[in-house]
Amino acid sequence: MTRLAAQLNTVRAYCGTQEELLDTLSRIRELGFDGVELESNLLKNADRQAVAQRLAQLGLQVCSIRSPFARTGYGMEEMIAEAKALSCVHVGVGTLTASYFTMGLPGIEKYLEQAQAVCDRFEKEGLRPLYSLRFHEFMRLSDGAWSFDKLESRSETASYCWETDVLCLTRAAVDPPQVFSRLAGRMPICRLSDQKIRENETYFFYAQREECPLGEGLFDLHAWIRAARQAGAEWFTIGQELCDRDPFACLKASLEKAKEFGCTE
Amino acid sequence: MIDITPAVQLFTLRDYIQTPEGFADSIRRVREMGCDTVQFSRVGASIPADFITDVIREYDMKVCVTHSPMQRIFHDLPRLIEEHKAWGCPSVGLGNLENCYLDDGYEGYSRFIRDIAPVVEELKKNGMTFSYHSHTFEFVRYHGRCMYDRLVEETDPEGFHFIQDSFWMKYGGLSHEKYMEKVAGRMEVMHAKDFTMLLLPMGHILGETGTIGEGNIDYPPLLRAAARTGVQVIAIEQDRCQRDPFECLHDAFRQLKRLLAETEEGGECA
Repeated sequence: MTRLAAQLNTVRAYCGTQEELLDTLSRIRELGFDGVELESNLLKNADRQAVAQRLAQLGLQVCSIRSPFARTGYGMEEMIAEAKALSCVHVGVGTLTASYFTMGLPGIEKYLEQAQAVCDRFEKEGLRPLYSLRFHEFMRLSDGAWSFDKLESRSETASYCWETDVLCLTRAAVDPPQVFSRLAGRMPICRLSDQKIRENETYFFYAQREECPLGEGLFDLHAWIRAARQAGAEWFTIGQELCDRDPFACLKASLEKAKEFGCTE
Repeated sequence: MIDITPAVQLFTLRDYIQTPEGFADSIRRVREMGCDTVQFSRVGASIPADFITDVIREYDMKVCVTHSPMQRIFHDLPRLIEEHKAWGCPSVGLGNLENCYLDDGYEGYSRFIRDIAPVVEELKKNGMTFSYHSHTFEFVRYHGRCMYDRLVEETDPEGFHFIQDSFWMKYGGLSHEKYMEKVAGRMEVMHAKDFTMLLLPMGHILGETGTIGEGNIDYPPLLRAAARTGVQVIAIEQDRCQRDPFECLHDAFRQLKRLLAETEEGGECA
Protein backbone atom coordinates (compact mmCIF):
# COMPACT_ATOMS: atom_id res chain seq x y z
CA MET A 1 0.00 0.00 0.00
CA THR A 2 1.24 3.47 -0.84
CA ARG A 3 1.47 5.83 2.11
CA LEU A 4 1.06 9.56 2.50
CA ALA A 5 3.65 11.92 3.91
CA ALA A 6 3.55 15.63 4.55
CA GLN A 7 6.37 17.80 3.31
CA LEU A 8 7.74 19.60 6.32
CA ASN A 9 8.77 22.42 4.01
CA THR A 10 5.12 23.40 3.64
CA VAL A 11 4.95 24.27 7.32
CA ARG A 12 8.52 25.59 7.59
CA ALA A 13 7.29 28.72 9.34
CA TYR A 14 6.29 26.51 12.27
CA CYS A 15 9.65 24.77 12.75
CA GLY A 16 11.82 27.58 14.11
CA THR A 17 12.62 26.00 17.48
CA GLN A 18 12.78 22.43 18.74
CA GLU A 19 9.53 22.91 20.60
CA GLU A 20 7.80 24.24 17.47
CA LEU A 21 9.21 21.44 15.33
CA LEU A 22 8.04 18.73 17.72
CA ASP A 23 4.63 20.34 17.95
CA THR A 24 4.43 20.55 14.16
CA LEU A 25 5.24 16.85 13.82
CA SER A 26 2.39 16.12 16.23
CA ARG A 27 0.01 18.26 14.20
CA ILE A 28 1.02 16.43 11.02
CA ARG A 29 0.23 13.12 12.67
CA GLU A 30 -3.09 14.45 13.95
CA LEU A 31 -4.03 15.41 10.40
CA GLY A 32 -3.72 11.73 9.53
CA PHE A 33 -0.42 11.51 7.65
CA ASP A 34 1.56 8.26 7.85
CA GLY A 35 4.89 9.97 7.41
CA VAL A 36 6.83 13.14 6.94
CA GLU A 37 9.44 14.34 4.51
CA LEU A 38 12.04 16.19 6.51
CA GLU A 39 14.33 19.00 5.44
CA SER A 40 17.79 18.98 6.96
CA ASN A 41 17.82 22.76 7.38
CA LEU A 42 14.68 22.55 9.51
CA LEU A 43 16.33 20.05 11.85
CA LYS A 44 19.27 22.29 12.69
CA ASN A 45 17.76 23.79 15.81
CA ALA A 46 16.55 20.51 17.26
CA ASP A 47 18.16 17.67 19.15
CA ARG A 48 18.17 14.67 16.82
CA GLN A 49 17.29 12.21 19.59
CA ALA A 50 14.35 14.31 20.71
CA VAL A 51 13.03 14.35 17.15
CA ALA A 52 13.52 10.58 16.81
CA GLN A 53 11.70 10.03 20.10
CA ARG A 54 8.74 12.19 19.09
CA LEU A 55 8.50 10.47 15.71
CA ALA A 56 8.49 7.07 17.43
CA GLN A 57 5.84 8.19 19.93
CA LEU A 58 3.66 9.45 17.12
CA GLY A 59 4.25 6.45 14.88
CA LEU A 60 5.24 8.89 12.15
CA GLN A 61 7.72 7.53 9.62
CA VAL A 62 10.35 9.56 7.81
CA CYS A 63 10.10 8.85 4.09
CA SER A 64 13.15 10.97 3.29
CA ILE A 65 15.38 13.72 4.57
CA ARG A 66 16.21 16.32 1.98
CA SER A 67 19.50 18.16 1.73
CA PRO A 68 21.14 20.11 -1.09
CA PHE A 69 23.72 18.23 -3.15
CA ALA A 70 26.45 20.53 -1.83
CA ARG A 71 26.00 19.02 1.63
CA THR A 72 27.41 15.73 0.35
CA GLY A 73 30.67 17.64 0.00
CA TYR A 74 30.88 19.20 3.46
CA GLY A 75 28.51 17.19 5.62
CA MET A 76 28.31 13.62 4.38
CA GLU A 77 28.92 12.06 7.82
CA GLU A 78 26.20 14.21 9.33
CA MET A 79 23.79 13.17 6.60
CA ILE A 80 24.49 9.53 7.37
CA ALA A 81 24.17 10.00 11.13
CA GLU A 82 20.93 11.95 10.71
CA ALA A 83 19.38 9.30 8.46
CA LYS A 84 20.30 6.51 10.84
CA ALA A 85 19.07 8.35 13.90
CA LEU A 86 15.72 9.02 12.24
CA SER A 87 15.42 5.52 10.70
CA CYS A 88 15.31 6.86 7.18
CA VAL A 89 16.73 4.89 4.24
CA HIS A 90 16.17 7.51 1.53
CA VAL A 91 18.67 10.28 1.91
CA GLY A 92 17.93 13.26 -0.28
CA VAL A 93 20.89 14.49 -2.30
CA GLY A 94 19.11 17.45 -3.80
CA THR A 95 19.27 18.11 -7.47
CA LEU A 96 21.64 19.02 -10.26
CA THR A 97 22.40 22.61 -9.34
CA ALA A 98 23.03 25.56 -11.66
CA SER A 99 26.77 25.32 -11.13
CA TYR A 100 26.62 22.07 -13.11
CA PHE A 101 23.79 22.43 -15.60
CA THR A 102 24.82 25.88 -16.80
CA MET A 103 28.09 24.30 -17.99
CA GLY A 104 26.29 21.94 -20.37
CA LEU A 105 27.70 18.49 -21.05
CA PRO A 106 31.01 19.03 -19.20
CA GLY A 107 29.02 20.12 -16.15
CA ILE A 108 26.94 16.96 -16.26
CA GLU A 109 30.10 14.85 -16.47
CA LYS A 110 31.54 16.67 -13.48
CA TYR A 111 28.35 16.08 -11.52
CA LEU A 112 28.29 12.38 -12.42
CA GLU A 113 31.85 11.93 -11.22
CA GLN A 114 31.02 13.48 -7.85
CA ALA A 115 27.74 11.59 -7.62
CA GLN A 116 29.56 8.29 -8.05
CA ALA A 117 31.51 8.90 -4.85
CA VAL A 118 28.30 9.85 -3.03
CA CYS A 119 26.59 6.67 -4.20
CA ASP A 120 29.53 4.52 -3.08
CA ARG A 121 29.58 6.08 0.38
CA PHE A 122 25.85 5.70 0.99
CA GLU A 123 25.88 2.14 -0.29
CA LYS A 124 28.44 1.18 2.34
CA GLU A 125 26.04 2.47 5.00
CA GLY A 126 23.01 0.67 3.59
CA LEU A 127 21.40 3.97 2.61
CA ARG A 128 19.96 5.05 -0.75
CA PRO A 129 20.67 8.44 -2.28
CA LEU A 130 17.39 10.04 -3.33
CA TYR A 131 17.55 12.44 -6.27
CA SER A 132 14.92 15.17 -6.32
CA LEU A 133 13.89 15.50 -9.98
CA ARG A 134 12.81 19.01 -10.87
CA PHE A 135 12.38 20.68 -14.28
CA HIS A 136 15.80 21.92 -15.34
CA GLU A 137 16.86 18.33 -16.06
CA PHE A 138 14.53 18.50 -19.07
CA MET A 139 16.39 21.28 -20.80
CA ARG A 140 17.98 19.93 -24.00
CA LEU A 141 21.77 19.61 -23.94
CA SER A 142 23.92 20.27 -27.01
CA ASP A 143 23.58 16.62 -28.05
CA GLY A 144 19.78 16.87 -27.95
CA ALA A 145 19.41 14.72 -24.85
CA TRP A 146 18.04 15.80 -21.49
CA SER A 147 20.26 15.89 -18.40
CA PHE A 148 17.66 13.49 -17.03
CA ASP A 149 18.59 10.99 -19.76
CA LYS A 150 22.17 11.01 -18.53
CA LEU A 151 21.40 10.92 -14.81
CA GLU A 152 18.89 8.14 -15.25
CA SER A 153 20.97 5.86 -17.44
CA ARG A 154 24.60 6.32 -16.46
CA SER A 155 26.40 3.80 -14.25
CA GLU A 156 27.72 6.51 -11.89
CA THR A 157 24.21 7.18 -10.60
CA ALA A 158 22.87 3.65 -10.93
CA SER A 159 22.17 3.41 -7.22
CA TYR A 160 20.14 6.63 -7.17
CA CYS A 161 16.50 6.31 -6.37
CA TRP A 162 14.18 9.08 -7.45
CA GLU A 163 11.67 11.49 -6.05
CA THR A 164 9.46 12.92 -8.79
CA ASP A 165 7.39 16.07 -8.46
CA VAL A 166 4.32 16.49 -10.65
CA LEU A 167 4.46 20.28 -10.49
CA CYS A 168 8.06 20.37 -11.71
CA LEU A 169 7.40 17.85 -14.46
CA THR A 170 4.49 19.84 -15.79
CA ARG A 171 6.58 23.01 -15.68
CA ALA A 172 8.90 21.22 -18.11
CA ALA A 173 5.91 20.19 -20.27
CA VAL A 174 6.74 16.56 -19.61
CA ASP A 175 3.94 14.08 -19.02
CA PRO A 176 4.42 12.73 -15.50
CA PRO A 177 3.40 9.15 -16.43
CA GLN A 178 6.05 9.13 -19.16
CA VAL A 179 8.73 9.80 -16.52
CA PHE A 180 7.19 7.46 -13.95
CA SER A 181 7.33 4.54 -16.35
CA ARG A 182 10.99 5.20 -17.06
CA LEU A 183 11.72 5.20 -13.34
CA ALA A 184 9.57 2.18 -12.51
CA GLY A 185 10.94 0.36 -9.49
CA ARG A 186 13.33 3.25 -8.75
CA MET A 187 10.87 5.92 -7.70
CA PRO A 188 9.95 5.35 -4.06
CA ILE A 189 8.54 8.86 -3.66
CA CYS A 190 6.25 10.97 -5.79
CA ARG A 191 5.43 14.49 -4.72
CA LEU A 192 1.92 15.68 -5.42
CA SER A 193 0.60 19.19 -5.70
CA ASP A 194 -1.87 20.98 -7.89
CA GLN A 195 -1.85 24.16 -9.94
CA LYS A 196 -4.48 26.76 -10.69
CA ILE A 197 -4.67 29.94 -12.71
CA ARG A 198 -4.68 33.05 -10.54
CA GLU A 199 -8.06 34.74 -10.42
CA ASN A 200 -8.74 38.32 -11.45
CA GLU A 201 -5.54 38.74 -13.41
CA THR A 202 -5.70 38.77 -17.16
CA TYR A 203 -2.36 38.03 -18.67
CA PHE A 204 -3.12 37.18 -22.28
CA PHE A 205 -0.22 34.86 -22.74
CA TYR A 206 1.66 33.79 -19.63
CA ALA A 207 -1.19 33.50 -17.15
CA GLN A 208 -0.07 33.45 -13.54
CA ARG A 209 0.02 29.90 -12.17
CA GLU A 210 -0.28 29.17 -8.47
CA GLU A 211 0.10 26.09 -6.34
CA CYS A 212 -3.03 24.98 -4.58
CA PRO A 213 -4.29 22.02 -2.56
CA LEU A 214 -4.96 18.85 -4.51
CA GLY A 215 -8.23 18.88 -6.41
CA GLU A 216 -8.50 22.66 -6.54
CA GLY A 217 -6.45 22.96 -9.70
CA LEU A 218 -6.05 21.67 -13.21
CA PHE A 219 -3.89 18.59 -12.84
CA ASP A 220 -5.09 15.20 -13.98
CA LEU A 221 -4.19 13.73 -10.59
CA HIS A 222 -6.30 10.57 -10.85
CA ALA A 223 -4.34 9.38 -13.87
CA TRP A 224 -0.99 10.46 -12.49
CA ILE A 225 -1.52 8.80 -9.12
CA ARG A 226 -2.50 5.58 -10.88
CA ALA A 227 0.64 5.76 -13.05
CA ALA A 228 2.89 6.46 -10.06
CA ARG A 229 1.45 3.50 -8.18
CA GLN A 230 2.02 1.29 -11.22
CA ALA A 231 5.63 2.49 -11.25
CA GLY A 232 6.01 1.29 -7.67
CA ALA A 233 5.79 4.50 -5.68
CA GLU A 234 5.86 3.71 -1.96
CA TRP A 235 5.09 7.21 -0.74
CA PHE A 236 3.15 10.19 -1.99
CA THR A 237 4.40 13.37 -0.38
CA ILE A 238 2.10 16.33 -0.22
CA GLY A 239 3.02 19.93 0.10
CA GLN A 240 3.13 23.40 -1.32
CA GLU A 241 5.96 25.88 -1.58
CA LEU A 242 3.44 28.69 -1.18
CA CYS A 243 -0.01 28.56 0.40
CA ASP A 244 -2.87 31.02 0.00
CA ARG A 245 -4.18 30.13 3.46
CA ASP A 246 -3.03 28.38 6.64
CA PRO A 247 -0.50 25.74 5.48
CA PHE A 248 -1.95 23.14 7.84
CA ALA A 249 -5.37 23.74 6.28
CA CYS A 250 -3.82 23.22 2.83
CA LEU A 251 -2.20 19.97 3.98
CA LYS A 252 -5.51 18.79 5.45
CA ALA A 253 -7.44 19.59 2.27
CA SER A 254 -4.84 17.85 0.13
CA LEU A 255 -4.74 14.79 2.35
CA GLU A 256 -8.48 14.31 2.05
CA LYS A 257 -8.33 14.62 -1.72
CA ALA A 258 -5.31 12.33 -1.97
CA LYS A 259 -7.27 9.59 -0.26
CA GLU A 260 -10.26 10.25 -2.50
CA PHE A 261 -8.00 10.06 -5.57
CA GLY A 262 -6.83 6.60 -4.57
CA CYS A 263 -3.39 7.33 -3.15
CA THR A 264 -3.70 4.75 -0.41
CA GLU A 265 -5.61 2.01 -2.19
CA MET B 1 -0.24 7.38 -40.41
CA ILE B 2 -2.45 10.18 -39.16
CA ASP B 3 -4.55 11.80 -41.87
CA ILE B 4 -4.50 15.43 -40.74
CA THR B 5 -3.39 18.35 -42.90
CA PRO B 6 -0.30 20.18 -41.65
CA ALA B 7 -0.61 23.95 -42.00
CA VAL B 8 1.07 27.21 -41.04
CA GLN B 9 -0.43 29.80 -38.70
CA LEU B 10 0.68 33.14 -40.14
CA PHE B 11 0.90 34.73 -36.66
CA THR B 12 4.48 33.41 -36.62
CA LEU B 13 5.20 35.66 -39.61
CA ARG B 14 3.27 38.69 -38.33
CA ASP B 15 6.21 41.05 -38.86
CA TYR B 16 6.44 40.01 -42.53
CA ILE B 17 2.78 40.28 -43.56
CA GLN B 18 1.99 43.91 -42.89
CA THR B 19 2.34 45.11 -46.52
CA PRO B 20 0.93 43.64 -49.76
CA GLU B 21 4.44 42.77 -50.96
CA GLY B 22 5.41 41.17 -47.66
CA PHE B 23 2.20 39.20 -47.55
CA ALA B 24 2.60 37.89 -51.12
CA ASP B 25 6.24 37.01 -50.53
CA SER B 26 5.42 35.21 -47.27
CA ILE B 27 2.68 33.14 -48.90
CA ARG B 28 5.11 32.24 -51.69
CA ARG B 29 7.74 31.13 -49.16
CA VAL B 30 5.25 29.10 -47.14
CA ARG B 31 4.05 27.46 -50.37
CA GLU B 32 7.65 26.57 -51.21
CA MET B 33 7.86 24.65 -47.94
CA GLY B 34 5.27 22.32 -49.40
CA CYS B 35 2.49 23.78 -47.28
CA ASP B 36 -0.86 24.41 -48.99
CA THR B 37 -2.95 25.52 -45.99
CA VAL B 38 -2.60 28.55 -43.75
CA GLN B 39 -4.41 30.28 -40.95
CA PHE B 40 -4.69 34.04 -41.26
CA SER B 41 -3.75 36.03 -38.18
CA ARG B 42 -2.36 39.57 -37.81
CA VAL B 43 -2.42 40.11 -41.57
CA GLY B 44 -1.83 43.82 -42.21
CA ALA B 45 -5.14 45.65 -41.82
CA SER B 46 -4.37 47.93 -44.76
CA ILE B 47 -3.92 45.09 -47.25
CA PRO B 48 -7.05 44.99 -49.45
CA ALA B 49 -9.10 41.82 -49.12
CA ASP B 50 -9.18 41.45 -52.90
CA PHE B 51 -5.41 41.50 -53.05
CA ILE B 52 -5.31 38.73 -50.41
CA THR B 53 -7.81 36.75 -52.46
CA ASP B 54 -5.66 37.11 -55.59
CA VAL B 55 -2.51 36.00 -53.78
CA ILE B 56 -4.00 32.87 -52.27
CA ARG B 57 -5.50 31.96 -55.66
CA GLU B 58 -2.15 32.51 -57.36
CA TYR B 59 -0.44 30.14 -54.94
CA ASP B 60 -3.38 27.76 -54.61
CA MET B 61 -3.34 28.29 -50.86
CA LYS B 62 -6.23 27.19 -48.65
CA VAL B 63 -7.27 29.19 -45.60
CA CYS B 64 -8.52 26.92 -42.80
CA VAL B 65 -9.51 29.57 -40.25
CA THR B 66 -8.67 33.13 -39.27
CA HIS B 67 -8.01 35.07 -36.13
CA SER B 68 -10.06 38.17 -36.75
CA PRO B 69 -10.16 41.33 -34.65
CA MET B 70 -12.91 41.21 -32.02
CA GLN B 71 -14.21 44.62 -33.07
CA ARG B 72 -14.79 43.36 -36.62
CA ILE B 73 -16.44 40.16 -35.41
CA PHE B 74 -18.99 42.22 -33.45
CA HIS B 75 -19.32 45.28 -35.67
CA ASP B 76 -18.35 44.31 -39.22
CA LEU B 77 -19.59 40.74 -39.50
CA PRO B 78 -21.25 40.88 -42.95
CA ARG B 79 -18.05 42.12 -44.61
CA LEU B 80 -15.97 39.63 -42.63
CA ILE B 81 -18.21 36.82 -43.85
CA GLU B 82 -17.87 37.98 -47.45
CA GLU B 83 -14.09 38.08 -47.16
CA HIS B 84 -14.01 34.58 -45.64
CA LYS B 85 -16.23 33.31 -48.44
CA ALA B 86 -13.91 34.82 -51.03
CA TRP B 87 -10.98 33.04 -49.38
CA GLY B 88 -12.90 29.77 -49.08
CA CYS B 89 -12.41 29.91 -45.32
CA PRO B 90 -15.11 28.16 -43.30
CA SER B 91 -14.51 29.67 -39.87
CA VAL B 92 -14.10 33.09 -38.29
CA GLY B 93 -11.79 32.80 -35.32
CA LEU B 94 -11.01 34.90 -32.28
CA GLY B 95 -7.39 34.75 -31.11
CA ASN B 96 -7.84 36.42 -27.76
CA LEU B 97 -10.77 37.27 -25.58
CA GLU B 98 -10.23 40.92 -24.76
CA ASN B 99 -10.05 42.77 -21.47
CA CYS B 100 -13.51 44.28 -21.76
CA TYR B 101 -14.73 40.77 -20.95
CA LEU B 102 -11.82 39.32 -18.99
CA ASP B 103 -11.70 42.12 -16.46
CA ASP B 104 -15.19 41.22 -15.24
CA GLY B 105 -14.33 37.65 -14.28
CA TYR B 106 -17.30 35.29 -14.16
CA GLU B 107 -19.71 37.99 -15.32
CA GLY B 108 -17.43 38.91 -18.19
CA TYR B 109 -17.51 35.37 -19.50
CA SER B 110 -21.30 35.31 -19.09
CA ARG B 111 -21.51 38.50 -21.15
CA PHE B 112 -19.22 37.12 -23.86
CA ILE B 113 -21.27 33.93 -24.11
CA ARG B 114 -24.38 36.08 -24.50
CA ASP B 115 -22.81 38.52 -26.98
CA ILE B 116 -21.28 35.89 -29.24
CA ALA B 117 -24.50 33.87 -29.62
CA PRO B 118 -25.98 36.04 -32.43
CA VAL B 119 -22.62 36.07 -34.20
CA VAL B 120 -22.56 32.28 -34.10
CA GLU B 121 -26.13 32.19 -35.41
CA GLU B 122 -25.27 34.45 -38.32
CA LEU B 123 -22.20 32.39 -39.19
CA LYS B 124 -24.27 29.21 -39.11
CA LYS B 125 -26.79 30.77 -41.50
CA ASN B 126 -23.86 31.28 -43.86
CA GLY B 127 -22.62 27.71 -43.46
CA MET B 128 -19.71 28.79 -41.28
CA THR B 129 -18.52 28.43 -37.69
CA PHE B 130 -16.95 30.60 -35.03
CA SER B 131 -13.62 29.33 -33.61
CA TYR B 132 -12.36 30.30 -30.17
CA HIS B 133 -8.60 30.06 -29.69
CA SER B 134 -7.60 29.44 -26.10
CA HIS B 135 -4.46 30.21 -24.16
CA THR B 136 -4.34 29.28 -20.48
CA PHE B 137 -6.18 32.13 -18.79
CA GLU B 138 -9.55 30.63 -19.73
CA PHE B 139 -8.88 27.79 -17.32
CA VAL B 140 -9.26 30.10 -14.33
CA ARG B 141 -12.00 29.16 -11.89
CA TYR B 142 -14.62 31.62 -10.73
CA HIS B 143 -17.32 30.48 -8.33
CA GLY B 144 -15.79 27.00 -8.54
CA ARG B 145 -16.26 26.74 -12.31
CA CYS B 146 -13.57 26.60 -14.96
CA MET B 147 -14.32 29.32 -17.51
CA TYR B 148 -13.16 27.19 -20.43
CA ASP B 149 -15.67 24.53 -19.41
CA ARG B 150 -18.37 27.20 -19.53
CA LEU B 151 -17.37 28.10 -23.08
CA VAL B 152 -17.73 24.43 -23.99
CA GLU B 153 -20.96 23.82 -22.12
CA GLU B 154 -22.85 27.10 -22.52
CA THR B 155 -22.36 27.74 -26.24
CA ASP B 156 -23.89 26.25 -29.37
CA PRO B 157 -21.95 23.07 -30.19
CA GLU B 158 -22.82 23.37 -33.86
CA GLY B 159 -21.50 26.86 -34.37
CA PHE B 160 -19.09 27.63 -31.52
CA HIS B 161 -15.91 25.69 -32.17
CA PHE B 162 -12.44 25.68 -30.65
CA ILE B 163 -8.77 25.98 -31.50
CA GLN B 164 -6.63 24.45 -28.77
CA ASP B 165 -2.92 25.03 -28.60
CA SER B 166 -0.43 22.36 -27.57
CA PHE B 167 1.89 24.80 -25.79
CA TRP B 168 -0.74 26.64 -23.78
CA MET B 169 -2.39 23.42 -22.67
CA LYS B 170 0.97 22.21 -21.37
CA TYR B 171 1.68 25.58 -19.78
CA GLY B 172 -1.45 25.15 -17.72
CA GLY B 173 -0.54 21.59 -16.76
CA LEU B 174 -3.71 20.35 -18.44
CA SER B 175 -4.35 16.98 -20.01
CA HIS B 176 -4.62 18.08 -23.63
CA GLU B 177 -6.00 14.72 -24.73
CA LYS B 178 -8.87 15.02 -22.26
CA TYR B 179 -9.70 18.49 -23.47
CA MET B 180 -9.64 17.32 -27.07
CA GLU B 181 -12.19 14.68 -26.13
CA LYS B 182 -14.25 17.38 -24.46
CA VAL B 183 -14.55 19.35 -27.70
CA ALA B 184 -14.69 16.33 -30.02
CA GLY B 185 -16.32 17.34 -33.30
CA ARG B 186 -15.92 21.02 -32.44
CA MET B 187 -12.26 21.51 -33.29
CA GLU B 188 -11.27 21.37 -36.94
CA VAL B 189 -8.00 23.26 -36.41
CA MET B 190 -5.47 22.79 -33.63
CA HIS B 191 -2.29 24.77 -33.02
CA ALA B 192 1.00 22.98 -32.55
CA LYS B 193 4.28 24.25 -31.28
CA ASP B 194 6.86 22.86 -28.93
CA PHE B 195 7.74 23.72 -25.35
CA THR B 196 11.44 24.43 -25.05
CA MET B 197 13.42 25.19 -21.92
CA LEU B 198 15.71 28.17 -22.45
CA LEU B 199 18.66 28.82 -20.17
CA LEU B 200 18.82 32.45 -19.07
CA PRO B 201 21.60 34.21 -17.14
CA MET B 202 22.22 33.08 -13.54
CA GLY B 203 20.78 29.63 -14.19
CA HIS B 204 17.21 30.80 -14.63
CA ILE B 205 15.15 28.72 -17.01
CA LEU B 206 12.24 29.85 -19.15
CA GLY B 207 9.66 27.57 -20.72
CA GLU B 208 9.18 29.14 -24.15
CA THR B 209 7.36 28.42 -27.39
CA GLY B 210 9.65 26.42 -29.63
CA THR B 211 10.05 24.62 -32.91
CA ILE B 212 8.40 21.21 -33.02
CA GLY B 213 11.05 18.56 -32.48
CA GLU B 214 13.27 20.77 -30.33
CA GLY B 215 11.28 20.71 -27.11
CA ASN B 216 9.49 18.44 -24.70
CA ILE B 217 5.97 17.88 -25.99
CA ASP B 218 5.27 14.23 -26.68
CA TYR B 219 3.35 14.53 -29.94
CA PRO B 220 2.23 10.99 -30.89
CA PRO B 221 -0.46 10.76 -28.15
CA LEU B 222 -1.71 14.23 -29.09
CA LEU B 223 -1.87 13.36 -32.79
CA ARG B 224 -3.80 10.17 -32.04
CA ALA B 225 -6.26 12.11 -29.89
CA ALA B 226 -6.58 14.76 -32.59
CA ALA B 227 -7.43 12.12 -35.19
CA ARG B 228 -9.97 10.48 -32.86
CA THR B 229 -11.72 13.75 -32.11
CA GLY B 230 -12.09 15.10 -35.61
CA VAL B 231 -9.22 17.56 -35.98
CA GLN B 232 -8.64 18.13 -39.69
CA VAL B 233 -5.80 20.65 -39.70
CA ILE B 234 -2.83 21.14 -37.40
CA ALA B 235 -1.35 24.60 -37.82
CA ILE B 236 2.21 25.08 -36.66
CA GLU B 237 2.87 28.29 -34.84
CA GLN B 238 5.71 29.78 -32.86
CA ASP B 239 4.99 32.93 -30.89
CA ARG B 240 8.62 33.79 -30.31
CA CYS B 241 11.45 32.50 -32.48
CA GLN B 242 15.08 32.30 -31.45
CA ARG B 243 16.10 32.39 -35.15
CA ASP B 244 14.56 33.28 -38.51
CA PRO B 245 10.80 32.54 -38.26
CA PHE B 246 10.72 31.05 -41.76
CA GLU B 247 13.46 28.63 -40.74
CA CYS B 248 11.55 27.71 -37.57
CA LEU B 249 8.40 27.07 -39.59
CA HIS B 250 10.30 25.09 -42.19
CA ASP B 251 11.84 22.79 -39.55
CA ALA B 252 8.60 22.48 -37.57
CA PHE B 253 6.61 21.71 -40.71
CA ARG B 254 9.03 18.94 -41.69
CA GLN B 255 8.90 17.48 -38.16
CA LEU B 256 5.12 17.61 -38.03
CA LYS B 257 4.85 15.86 -41.40
CA ARG B 258 7.24 13.17 -40.16
CA LEU B 259 5.26 12.71 -36.95
CA LEU B 260 1.98 12.48 -38.84
CA ALA B 261 3.47 9.89 -41.19
CA GLU B 262 5.04 7.79 -38.43
CA THR B 263 2.26 7.86 -35.82
CA GLU B 264 -0.27 5.06 -35.91
CA GLU B 265 -3.90 5.95 -35.34
CA GLY B 266 -5.81 4.56 -32.39
CA GLY B 267 -5.19 4.61 -28.67
CA GLU B 268 -7.51 4.79 -25.76
CA CYS B 269 -9.70 7.72 -24.95
CA ALA B 270 -7.95 9.84 -22.32
